[in-house]
Amino acid sequence: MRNKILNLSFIFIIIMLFSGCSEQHQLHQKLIIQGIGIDKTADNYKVTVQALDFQNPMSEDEPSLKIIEISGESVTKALDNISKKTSLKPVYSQNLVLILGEEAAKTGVNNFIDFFVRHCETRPKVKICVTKSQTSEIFKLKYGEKSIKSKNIHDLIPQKLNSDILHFVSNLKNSYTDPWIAWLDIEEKKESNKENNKELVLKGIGIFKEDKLINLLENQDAFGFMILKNVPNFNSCIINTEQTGEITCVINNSKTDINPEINNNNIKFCINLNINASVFSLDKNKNFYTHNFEETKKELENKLSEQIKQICNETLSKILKLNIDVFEFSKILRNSCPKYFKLIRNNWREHLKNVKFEIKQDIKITATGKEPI
Amino acid sequence: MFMGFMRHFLNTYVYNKNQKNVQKNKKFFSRLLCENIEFIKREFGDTADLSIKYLKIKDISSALITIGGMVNKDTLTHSVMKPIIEKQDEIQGTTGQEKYKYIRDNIIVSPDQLQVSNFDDAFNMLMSGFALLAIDGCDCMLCLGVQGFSFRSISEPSTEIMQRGSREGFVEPLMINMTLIRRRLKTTDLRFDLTQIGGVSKTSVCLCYLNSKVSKDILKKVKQKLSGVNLESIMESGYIIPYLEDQGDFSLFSSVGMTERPDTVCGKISEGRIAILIDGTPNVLIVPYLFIEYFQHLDDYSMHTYFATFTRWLKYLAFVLSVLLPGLYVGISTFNPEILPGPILTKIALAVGTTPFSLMFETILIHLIYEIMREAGLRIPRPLGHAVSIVGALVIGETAVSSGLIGAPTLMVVALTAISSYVIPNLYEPISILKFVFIITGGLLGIWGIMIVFTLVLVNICSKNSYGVPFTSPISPFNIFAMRDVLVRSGWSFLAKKNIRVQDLPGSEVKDRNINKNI
Amino acid sequence: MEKRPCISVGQIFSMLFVSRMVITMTYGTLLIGDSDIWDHLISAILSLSITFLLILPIYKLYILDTKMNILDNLRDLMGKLGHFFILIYVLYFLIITLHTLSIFDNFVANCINPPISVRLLCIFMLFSACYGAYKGLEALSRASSFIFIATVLALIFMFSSLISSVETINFRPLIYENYSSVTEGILYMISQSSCLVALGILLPMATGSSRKKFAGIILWNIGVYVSFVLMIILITGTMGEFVSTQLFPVYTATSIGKFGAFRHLDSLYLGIWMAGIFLKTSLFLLLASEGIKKIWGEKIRKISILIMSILLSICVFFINNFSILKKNSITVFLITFLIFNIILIPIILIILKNKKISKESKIFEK
Repeated sequence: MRNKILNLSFIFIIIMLFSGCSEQHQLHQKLIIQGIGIDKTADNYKVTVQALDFQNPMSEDEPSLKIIEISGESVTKALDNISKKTSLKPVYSQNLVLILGEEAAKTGVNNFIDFFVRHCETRPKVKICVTKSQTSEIFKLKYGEKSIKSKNIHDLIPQKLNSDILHFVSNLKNSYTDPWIAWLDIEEKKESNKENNKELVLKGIGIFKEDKLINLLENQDAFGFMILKNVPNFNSCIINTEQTGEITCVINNSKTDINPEINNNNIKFCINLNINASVFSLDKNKNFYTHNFEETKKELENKLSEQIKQICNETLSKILKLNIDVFEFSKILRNSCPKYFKLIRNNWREHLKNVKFEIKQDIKITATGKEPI
Repeated sequence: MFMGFMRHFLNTYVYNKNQKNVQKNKKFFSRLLCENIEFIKREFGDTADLSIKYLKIKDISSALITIGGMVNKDTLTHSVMKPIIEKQDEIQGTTGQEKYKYIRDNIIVSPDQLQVSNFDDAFNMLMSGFALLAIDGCDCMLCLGVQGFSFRSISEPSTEIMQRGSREGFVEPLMINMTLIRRRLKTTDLRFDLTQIGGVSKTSVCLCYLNSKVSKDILKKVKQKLSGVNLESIMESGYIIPYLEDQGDFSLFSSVGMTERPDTVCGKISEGRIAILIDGTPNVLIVPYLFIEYFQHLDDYSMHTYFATFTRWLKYLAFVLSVLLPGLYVGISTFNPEILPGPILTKIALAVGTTPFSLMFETILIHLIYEIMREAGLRIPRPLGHAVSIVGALVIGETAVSSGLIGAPTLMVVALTAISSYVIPNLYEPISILKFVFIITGGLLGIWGIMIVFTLVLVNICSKNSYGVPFTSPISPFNIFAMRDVLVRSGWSFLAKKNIRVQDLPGSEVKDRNINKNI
Repeated sequence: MEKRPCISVGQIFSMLFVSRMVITMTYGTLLIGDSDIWDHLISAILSLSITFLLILPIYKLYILDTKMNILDNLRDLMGKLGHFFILIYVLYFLIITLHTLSIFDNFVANCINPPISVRLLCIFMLFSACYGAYKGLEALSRASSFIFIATVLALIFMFSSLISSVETINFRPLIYENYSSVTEGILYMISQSSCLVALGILLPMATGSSRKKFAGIILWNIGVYVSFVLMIILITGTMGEFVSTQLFPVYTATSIGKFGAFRHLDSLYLGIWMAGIFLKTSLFLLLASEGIKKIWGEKIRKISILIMSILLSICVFFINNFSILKKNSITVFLITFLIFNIILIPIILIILKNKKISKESKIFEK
């Protein structure tokens, strides 16, 4: 009798478990989301989603990329509408990138970022960036003959920039620091006259004050930011000396070491830059190698370091003027002078305005390459 | 040598019978020949193979009783009938009893002779291929060893192929199998214990062990369990496996090993295990048998250590793959697609999108088809075997995918699983069942369900004991010294340092084990 | 004579290590509230020493009679009253099982959000654990070695995949705000030390010398807290302030690390974690049934496992309605229960035992 009861209860459990089958979605019935873009319209959020479409694949081996545009009062509501629109179950775990429209970023990310932090499927390492264009335009961009993939966008953002949800939210949560993200935008190719002459490029950096985007850094400012954040290969420096003519140098790697100094309630940050650069292209008309090599190299290094110092100085003063702390000065101060920071932290923003800094740089040109052709 | 063993067998057998003296209602021979013959005829009925040849030996009637086909007629003629007929004038004595003694001691030249006095023993002898000589006026009969039945010659076992090593495998007659072991272990320590089981078949079963290595406790338990076998007939060693395992302990994994190779048996018994040889089958059982032994192959010991270690790990991997791969494939694809790298995910999703079934159903279906084909390949008459492989290759390999019924990744998973399971053929039975269990749990509960069921199976394996030795020993309970033949296959110089007997493994509860900290 | 299970010291501690680590892995906002994880570094070090103090009564009791565990002693020394205390131990083990299941339930609901009912998954887990408990201590302890190896490998793998993304800037000075986080951390860690009670029951069951067991206790505790400390360092170092947004930061940390082409290995960690939860639930069900066995015998023990599982599975349905399972009250409740079970009762038992021994020696002298 006892065995019968046991068997029956076992069967009951199995049947209960089988009830799970009814809700089960097969892989092709899921919407594997690859990238999400968020734009702000007058009173709504427009969410653009790039997802893999297995229902209508391009070929036997390749799924097509589906771009879904939905809008709603909030981002969460808009995302909720996806399954209504497509009858597919959205899966966020394969999401690679989150693109914010300029307007959406300016109104404040606190309205929607929570979804990407709390949802059980989203991952902290999703890369995040801002764009001036419409996000749907980016997803519709052609990359060669095919549409651009979120993977391509993901790869455009340098790993070392830490432009991901993890760092973004971490700095957002810290009331003394401010977050920054990469700025990607569409540029027209100059040389080509073809139909799809647009391409996506890493333009610079979007910096935030608390949760709102307040500035987009480009060109020299972005370059300075990248050097201070140790992101190499963003831009090149052109140095002009009498002997060598125009020489293009590229930063291979940089290491920044920031140390605070406190004198009479004045905070000063000593920024030590340790940079390795290499010569990228030489002036055709002048020969770099005919002169005293070591001396020329020294001169080159001096010029480069001056230039970099100037760029960094400008970037830093510009950012500090905005009264934001994207370089995590507060954390550095907290770690090295905890007692002092505790005293001033309530007025940190005030102090930040008066922060002094001094840049010391040690620049080495490690590779000079061959003579010009 | 064969005859020698026969005698040994007879002596042991009759000795055992006398010792027991249990069959109190044994029927003894009468002094009248006709009465005895009448009884034998009645017992056997009108069976066609019983042959009774009446002889007159110096006015006394006698009979030579044999079973057709089991005796060598040449030997019978030359060593029994011819001497009796030619030398009947020399026979001395007046009574049947005296004549019987003279014939036994002076006339018959057969080396195997034995005297029986009751019908039970006589029948046993008769059915083992002996000839019975009955003489009127004598209340005992003479058994003459003139066996001559035919049997399969010794050949390499097809189920356990080895790259190196002996090409000999066990055959059906018990005696030959005993010889094969004795030839490899020339020591007086080697013991063969004969008993009979099976109410009707009366199959001879022989326990083979090394007296100095075996645990008396385990030996006692094995004997106890064998005496509890209540089968009518034993046609194959598989019949008695359930009796040798712990009762009431359900498990997919068997704690009784099986082999067809005499060299494997010798290796096992030299570690204190007991081999059970059963007459009429080339499969020899080995107890106690541990989980890790499923992965140890005799070939490992003849290869280079590094390669043997590599193959050992291949076997572990193959086991895990063959059990878990289809389940994980279904579970991950259905519930946890985030684990998969993009390109693999895309391939699977595209394949699933084109097939009509759910991934779980598809995987179960194709595994079932594979199992059906495997079974067909096994049972089909050999000339038709090619047909199966052609149909199989076409049905599963080509058409199923191109018709869009089954996805290519699923097919690949099934193929990989099938091939992995061939690496450890001894574990095929549990693997094929577990595979289905994991596919179903994977399809219903994802990777978490698989993990729970995996832990359940783990607990099941761990709860098993094989004659007081933990089934999972020496991994858990762990012993670092025993890892020389688990994690790696160390060189012989290290392996030979100490012979680890099975009862000394960690966690063993065998009473007469050697309690030594090293092992 | 009743058959003593044959388990080694290593097996016991691997079982306890896994049981403790599964709780550590769910360490996060759910149970510690807004308390600062980084300050728990100090809590962990302090808890380690407190744990050693907490073990003393149990160890002393064990030294007095190495063959009897707390339950045996209760039955022998206190008679009918002992039966009552045994039932309290049974209750404690059941509450811990329920607590583990509630953590499991919360975790699954928040982090996995599976398409099937979380409660059913819980019940499936419970009944599987029931099988584990039914199979007995030997089977569980042997299985624990495998799970232990898997857990340790997973931990090593997790640590090594995270270590490269640690940013030293995230390491604040310790105790920057106030001491409340440290005390909260200590309370949390001690309240989750239910394995100490298990230790009191299991220690005499293992085969092996007292010295080996003593070394085991030390290694086990250090192992538990060192992995705790490492975990805190790694999650704070990799995630910074992001930690405070996550309900289960250890789980989030696993999704950051990657291994070649395979990303998001959190599901694999989850698998191993589930095996650990299985082990812990089985172990505590088994310990509860051991208590039942001491009062009513082996036959009732086996039936009681099923009855207890059914009771627990009913509780599982209302798991989130119990206010006692909420953060603060559960910590206080568990600590009170724990102190009662590993300090108060063992000390009473030690006094009674000493009396008995002196009495016996007097009789012997006479």
